[in-house]
Amino acid sequence: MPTLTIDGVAYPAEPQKNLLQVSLSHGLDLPYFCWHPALGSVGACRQCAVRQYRDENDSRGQIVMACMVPATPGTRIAIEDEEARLFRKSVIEWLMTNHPHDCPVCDEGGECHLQDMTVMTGHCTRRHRFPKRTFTNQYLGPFINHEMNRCIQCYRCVRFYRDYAGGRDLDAFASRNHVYFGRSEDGALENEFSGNLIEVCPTGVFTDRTLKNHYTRKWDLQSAPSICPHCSLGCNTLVGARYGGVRRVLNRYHHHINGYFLCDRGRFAYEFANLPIRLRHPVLPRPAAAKDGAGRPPTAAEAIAAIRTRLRRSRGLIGIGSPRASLESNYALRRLVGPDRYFSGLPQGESRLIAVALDILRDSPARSPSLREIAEADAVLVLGEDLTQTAPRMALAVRQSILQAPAARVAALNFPGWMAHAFQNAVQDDRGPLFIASVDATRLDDAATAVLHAPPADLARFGFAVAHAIDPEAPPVPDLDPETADLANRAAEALLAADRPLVLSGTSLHHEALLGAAANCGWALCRRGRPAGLGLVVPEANTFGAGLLGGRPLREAYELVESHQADTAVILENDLYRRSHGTDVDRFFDRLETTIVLDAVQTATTARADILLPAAPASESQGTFISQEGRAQRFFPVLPPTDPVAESWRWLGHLHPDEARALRSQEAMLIAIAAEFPFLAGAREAAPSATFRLNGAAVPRSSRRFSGRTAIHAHLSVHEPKPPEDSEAPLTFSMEGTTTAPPAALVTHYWAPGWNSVQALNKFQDEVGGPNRGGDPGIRLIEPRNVPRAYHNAIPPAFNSREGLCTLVPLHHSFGSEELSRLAPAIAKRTPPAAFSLSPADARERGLGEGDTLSIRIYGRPVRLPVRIHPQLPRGCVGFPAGWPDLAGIHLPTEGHFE
Amino acid sequence: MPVQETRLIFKHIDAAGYTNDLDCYLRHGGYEILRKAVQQKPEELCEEVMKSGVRGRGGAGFPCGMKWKFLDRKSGKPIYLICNADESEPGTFKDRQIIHKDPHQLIEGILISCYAIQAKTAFIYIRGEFPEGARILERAIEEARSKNLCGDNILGSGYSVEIFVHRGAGAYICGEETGLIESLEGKRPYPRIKPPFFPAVLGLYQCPTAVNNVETLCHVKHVIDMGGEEYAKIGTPGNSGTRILCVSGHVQKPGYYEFACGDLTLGQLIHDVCGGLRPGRSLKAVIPGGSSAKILRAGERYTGKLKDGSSFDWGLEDIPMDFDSLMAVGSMAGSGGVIVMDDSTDMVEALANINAFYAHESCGQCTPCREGSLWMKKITTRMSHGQARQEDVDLLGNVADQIAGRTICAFGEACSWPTQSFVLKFRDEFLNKARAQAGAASTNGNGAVPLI
Amino acid sequence: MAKVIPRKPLTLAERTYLPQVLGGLKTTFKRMVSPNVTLEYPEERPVIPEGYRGVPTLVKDPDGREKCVSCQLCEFVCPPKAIKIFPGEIPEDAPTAHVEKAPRDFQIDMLRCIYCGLCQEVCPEEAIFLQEIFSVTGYTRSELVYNKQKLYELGGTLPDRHFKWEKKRQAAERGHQH
Repeated sequence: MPTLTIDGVAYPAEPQKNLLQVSLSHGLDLPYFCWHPALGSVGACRQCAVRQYRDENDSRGQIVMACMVPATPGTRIAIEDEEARLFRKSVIEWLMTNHPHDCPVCDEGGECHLQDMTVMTGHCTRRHRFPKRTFTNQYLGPFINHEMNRCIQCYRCVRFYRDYAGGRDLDAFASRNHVYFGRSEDGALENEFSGNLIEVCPTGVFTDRTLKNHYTRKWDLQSAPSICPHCSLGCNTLVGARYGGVRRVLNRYHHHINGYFLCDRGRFAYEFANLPIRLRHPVLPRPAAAKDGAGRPPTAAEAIAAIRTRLRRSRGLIGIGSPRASLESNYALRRLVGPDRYFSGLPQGESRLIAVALDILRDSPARSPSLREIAEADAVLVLGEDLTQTAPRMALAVRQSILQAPAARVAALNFPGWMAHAFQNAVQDDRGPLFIASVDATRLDDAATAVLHAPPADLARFGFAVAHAIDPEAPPVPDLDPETADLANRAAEALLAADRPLVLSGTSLHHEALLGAAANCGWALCRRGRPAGLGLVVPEANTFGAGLLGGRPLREAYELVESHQADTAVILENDLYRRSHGTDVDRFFDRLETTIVLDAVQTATTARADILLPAAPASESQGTFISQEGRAQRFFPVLPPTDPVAESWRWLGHLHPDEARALRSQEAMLIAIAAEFPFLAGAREAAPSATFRLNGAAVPRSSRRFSGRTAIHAHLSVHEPKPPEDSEAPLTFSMEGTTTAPPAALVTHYWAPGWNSVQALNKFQDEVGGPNRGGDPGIRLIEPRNVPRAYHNAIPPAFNSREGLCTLVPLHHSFGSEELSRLAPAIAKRTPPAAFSLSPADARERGLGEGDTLSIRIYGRPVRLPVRIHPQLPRGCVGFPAGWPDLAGIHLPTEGHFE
Repeated sequence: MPVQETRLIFKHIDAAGYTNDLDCYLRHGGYEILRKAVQQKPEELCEEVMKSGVRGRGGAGFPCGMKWKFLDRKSGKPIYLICNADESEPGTFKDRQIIHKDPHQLIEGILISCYAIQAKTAFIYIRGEFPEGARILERAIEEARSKNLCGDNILGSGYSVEIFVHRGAGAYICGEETGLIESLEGKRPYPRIKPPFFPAVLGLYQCPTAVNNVETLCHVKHVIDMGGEEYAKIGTPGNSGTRILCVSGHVQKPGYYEFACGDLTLGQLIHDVCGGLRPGRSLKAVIPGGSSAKILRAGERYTGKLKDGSSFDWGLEDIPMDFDSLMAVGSMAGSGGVIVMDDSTDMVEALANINAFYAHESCGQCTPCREGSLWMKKITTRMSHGQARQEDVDLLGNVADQIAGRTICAFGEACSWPTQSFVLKFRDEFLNKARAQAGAASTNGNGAVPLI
Repeated sequence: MAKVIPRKPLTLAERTYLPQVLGGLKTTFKRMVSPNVTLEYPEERPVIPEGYRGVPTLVKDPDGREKCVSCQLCEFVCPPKAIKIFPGEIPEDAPTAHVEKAPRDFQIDMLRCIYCGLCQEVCPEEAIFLQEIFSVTGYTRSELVYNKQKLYELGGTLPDRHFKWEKKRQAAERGHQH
């Protein structure tokens, strides 16, 4: 095996990597700043200097930057070289000439890469006796706090924000030691991934503004592995909490999904769990409550007893599940009410869409791609989905994919891809094929080879045309206009020419034909022998999980109640007013004898409940989500749910009259699920079970630097209460537990001796930037199967706008369309006001301008909203803000009447 | 024996009645060489330049012929020529004279060079502080175009070339060739890291690019005129051709002078050419190649061996003004800016001035020069404000030592060499200053340390 | 095996117990005439030596600004975990906005405090001092959890002349925008 030598020790050579990466991968401590595994090397900070020797006889060598030298066989370097060490110390000394001495007030303190590197290099005395350079800070919006004085000019922020995430409004200004990283003027950072600056910045320039509302030192955060509940991608997160409240969300590295980066929705939406609208106690109907006397909220036992009484009296029980509740909770409900009285909680149309999507993915020769596979695709077709708004992290992955084809083209230049500046220079404006077909302009359009903005039906027709162009056996599209046909041919050609072609679509437009068109494209590519990926975005975190359990559509639940076959409903974490038209829901509730609602926050539906049970949100509960990729992943509570708050599945397990014992643990729930749904058996393996122990101990949620319990109850008793026990997870609610790095699914902190910042992640990976040590968490339940599939042939007719009518299309927004995240104050600040979006032509015809009020009759009821003119929106389509309460419960496709 | 100037490039400059318009240039035999050149094969021209041994006049002294030879001609990509007119080294003012007084000479040089390397596009990157020069060049290019000397099918040869003038925004770092290329591409002028890309292979827009100094390109014209071998006879072997020296500082007649390389010594330059020092003054030090070159102190003896094996033993005034000799004595010919200092000079002040320039011009990309140059400037400023401290001298040297050779581009050397050499050679002066001031300036009444 | 040590028989004088009684009376009478060494606490108070580690308190600077910036290092270092800090932001329009942070609340549980002085040792802002107060009394447990207001009342003003944050404010005024 070819080797290289570091400090006299031989290691395997890895010519495709640089020396810094290799050194870190082998656990050697070499300081660095500007290098980032996802951003590559630019050699700017000069911190990772080592001495390189030409060969065995060379004793002088020269100082080189480890991040810029490939780890080729025969390379000899010394990290522990005196001169190199002195230089590394000098670099820190230089950086410290201007870095303020404000660690006590800095949010980064204690989790700061600069602090760690300073200690690592041994710099400790100050020789620079001059005033420090100062800057004026900017207001960068509700997510990010800016403190430029702390900047060490590593350029990571702009390299992430501009080069990686495609943002335009953050840049480096001025030169010499006045280089300023900020916006041209104060204002919120526009990019949907700005939150990653917090983790990318090696010191405290960009810090979490939401954390400032309830700051605590990061070593005091209790932390647990979780899954982001705010879209269907299943990004891995680390949720931090203290004193009973969630304090922040960090990225948890998953090699195949989110990698190093999260979207802002996922990072800053956590605050909804701390709001006053959180449900903390059961609510019982008045007669029962009266017994309790002096305003004491009912206990869990009382609530359960009350419900059991009601259930016994009931003349028909139904259960309404939810795509945002965990797999276990949905199953517990299904078990409680019986399979034929279990409803998916989705309206007919959406229910069918999910079923179609599952059908397409479950028996598909095309692979449902992970985000990593999306980033590595070299030709992408996005059909009908505005990814940045519906599944933001996927948009970031797609943005990386456009560099795959150019990377292959510049490979001939014979330099490694991690040389970031050289790579950029070599690639220049060359971009790989990305075709986007969407209703309105998307935030990815700037990266696209070609875009098509058309009504949903025409988008589907375009998709079918692409499929036909790929494989002539796929159904042809009649009467296709030549322009679209030409674009379809171009897209088909690009996909066919690619090594790893990819088709992405989703349900956000509520247009079934789009899914068929996407499936046809994926399958056509497979038939032509291309290893195609086919990804479908669905609305919520557990849409697929709930969908796989079956369940009848909501409409049938209403009918059941209407026909007096049921008088009691258990509604699981679902706001029906978001699913159906308000009058229908009102009527449903009016007819019900008893409405039992479980939810974490107050909604329009909880207001109609007779009995309300406080469910724990994802941050306080344990459960399993199945992502749009088909991956089952486990999330764990960061806080023990404070009694009487409990996971929905726990509530429902208690409600079950007979087999209460059997369903009292999550493990038991998963075993029962596996028995009934064999294809969900893998969900049990998504994470180690409660009995898992490492060196005889569970994994602590508190860090080893935890300050302790700090006298929380000192005013009551000198005795500290015992830390809460967790019977469901192999995690403890304390700092007691194993000190070895746990399996990735159980990682609660990234920390290693000397590495207190998130950069300690290096120590948790097989190799820096590679998979998590011991494998990445989660189990893929959907794998491609080489089965012959018949092409979808329900090709819709071309769109025709009709006089006085408009087709309503849902326009999603990253900050506002998702139910829970829009409650978080920081997200709410970025949520645009509700508006109807009009094409310029429609606006002109009606004499409307930006901001005018437009009234559209929907279901015979006028809705008045201000007008926003969207230049790219096709004529005849009116966009409405999806997920806004103003327009909740619209079933698509629907036409509106202009008034 | 008084030495004679050998004026090639400055032949007409300063001549009575010589103006910078095309007519005047044509009257003096202008563009004849271009006419001659386009009849020849490009390879022959390159060969001539190679034979002439003409070295780059921008600072590094890299042979121009070699630079052209490295150009990647097989890639099939267009080749670009960039004329580096970002003359910003303190002490250097030769290119501006060429541009202002004889722009057509430069354009002819560019056109010949373009033809020689078969570049279809040339850029003149002129520093932002030369708006007048840029206007003159733009006008000159228009004039040349009107006479079909530039543009499509020049002089009926079937060869077309376009010259564009690009004005920089005023940064020293744009004189670094890769920084210049980045700037020309519309980005921040951050010098590129070499390897992997060298401009000759992957330069501007990832195409092979030759970046040459204004003076170098003018020399090309004369090389083609005289023939490479003939040109090589001027000067000494390895240091062929003439050299423009820009003399500033404490001499009677500062200015620009053109000499055959190695024709004269530093002493001759100061005493014979520039009329000597001011009366009653003695020579203290000379910076021989622009402010980034290491300073030479009067009274030093330089001994050693030259490239050709001959040994030398020179005093300061005996040093021949050519590339190799200046290299041999530990400095460099650089861009030809000779700064003469007599005994009235306070070396701390002088260094403070130089450091202020470099601290201001660091691009801010890599740490050592961004932070180090400013720190050195702060120290020398403090010393020159009478608040030096005992430890300052060693600290200066210490900071400078860590910068040189460890930055992305040569700016690290440029900003640390002056400090290194000043502190090394005038250590006594620095120490005396520090000692004299240290007591007085340590506190300011309330015990606080002053922060200048 | 046990070893038996026989007791020496008492002498006559010892058997009368008089020498011991007289020796005791001697000490008693000597003390009756010598000056007092005890204090009539609480009417009389002891002189507290310099460096005495009494109750930890929070101090303000001569301008009346609270010095604590809620960095939580004392909370971290406190061996009996007696300190609890709720960090807070100083509002943008406050005159001390440049300090960025001050505790929303700062609690020290005097029942747990062991007067070790590590909090004072670790404080980067010289905001917490163990002062001469030694008597901590109260009727309830909650009374003995000192809050921020109480701690500042006990602490008073530290007559230092650092004003390091003032330098930050001045520097901010010179700050470069871009």
